[in-house]
Amino acid sequence: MISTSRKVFGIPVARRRNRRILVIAYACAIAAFAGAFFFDQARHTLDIFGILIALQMLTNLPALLGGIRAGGVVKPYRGVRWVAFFNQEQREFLFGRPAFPGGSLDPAAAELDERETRLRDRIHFLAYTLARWFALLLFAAFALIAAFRPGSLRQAGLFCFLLLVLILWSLPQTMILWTEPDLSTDPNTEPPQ
Amino acid sequence: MRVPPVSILRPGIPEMLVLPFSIPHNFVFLSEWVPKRRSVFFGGCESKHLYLPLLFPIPSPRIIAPLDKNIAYTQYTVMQENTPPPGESGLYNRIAVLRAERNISRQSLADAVGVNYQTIGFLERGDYGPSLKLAFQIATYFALPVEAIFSTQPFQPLSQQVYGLKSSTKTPEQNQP
Repeated sequence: MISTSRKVFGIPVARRRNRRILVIAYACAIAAFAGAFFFDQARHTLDIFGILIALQMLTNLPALLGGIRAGGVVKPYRGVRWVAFFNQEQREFLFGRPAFPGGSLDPAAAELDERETRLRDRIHFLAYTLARWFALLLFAAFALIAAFRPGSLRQAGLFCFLLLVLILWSLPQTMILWTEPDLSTDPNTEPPQ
Repeated sequence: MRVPPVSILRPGIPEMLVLPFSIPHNFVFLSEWVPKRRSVFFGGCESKHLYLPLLFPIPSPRIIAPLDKNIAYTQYTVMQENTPPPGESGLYNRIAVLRAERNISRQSLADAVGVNYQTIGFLERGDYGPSLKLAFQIATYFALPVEAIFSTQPFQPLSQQVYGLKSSTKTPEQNQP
């Protein structure tokens, strides 16, 4: 499920400890981004530039983890069956560049086998359950703000919506990165001695 | 009675002590721990790998040693093959042993049955229960029946299966004419 050949900012992801650090860094980035968005709105300075940055963050932050697009740490959930038919240059021209520099579209890592498919489905069920409760909590918070601070309703609404979208797009990937054990990086592992 | 380890596999494959319950792979035997007293109030256990601090010193190593002997000589069953304890799947398997016997890498086996090489590692550790299709594919690859590779019960040592229970439980002294 995880492309062990990947390195994020020079850090190999085959070790679970490194992956957990990546997940924590990602959560901090989301919190920082959502906070900046919140305070930016408070000063009424949100303009087209801010919206463009928000869109970039929404598309690129989850893509770093993978899952949705090829080239991330987690293999694409739907697999990438076309990679075997094109070379690297053609793939980048036809389907866009990998999510981050150094992320290559490896044909061997493009298809999910039965264990990975099962893991993907189980994690998505868990993520849906968590996200459902999280959405309920956000709605409750939004309702409280609407009742007691109606002046900041727009600000809080956009903030909640942004946070929910980011979490919906990246929760399964973060759960996979957090829970998968340490993985062998050597495909030609010798038989046990 | 302690059964002497006898390997019918190729030399170099370690015999494994298997408990009736699973223990973590980094389990440190009690005899390896040496109680260490740092001060009147602080102490702990020290092994060759790490020091485990405790709020109070362990009273005496003489209490621990008999416990360790009991576990080592009465409850352990010596298994002659590398049967891994079942992980999340609850299935025992002989994939690692068969790979060792036939000198097959994970990648070769993975390519033959159409899965990722990491999945073979998960299978060997018992962390993943294969589908019926994959189990049959592996069995076909090794030219063995499925029940010879996967089981819900711990596998008997191959020496016992081949030569019978009586001969394998005898000590070398008893086996001598």
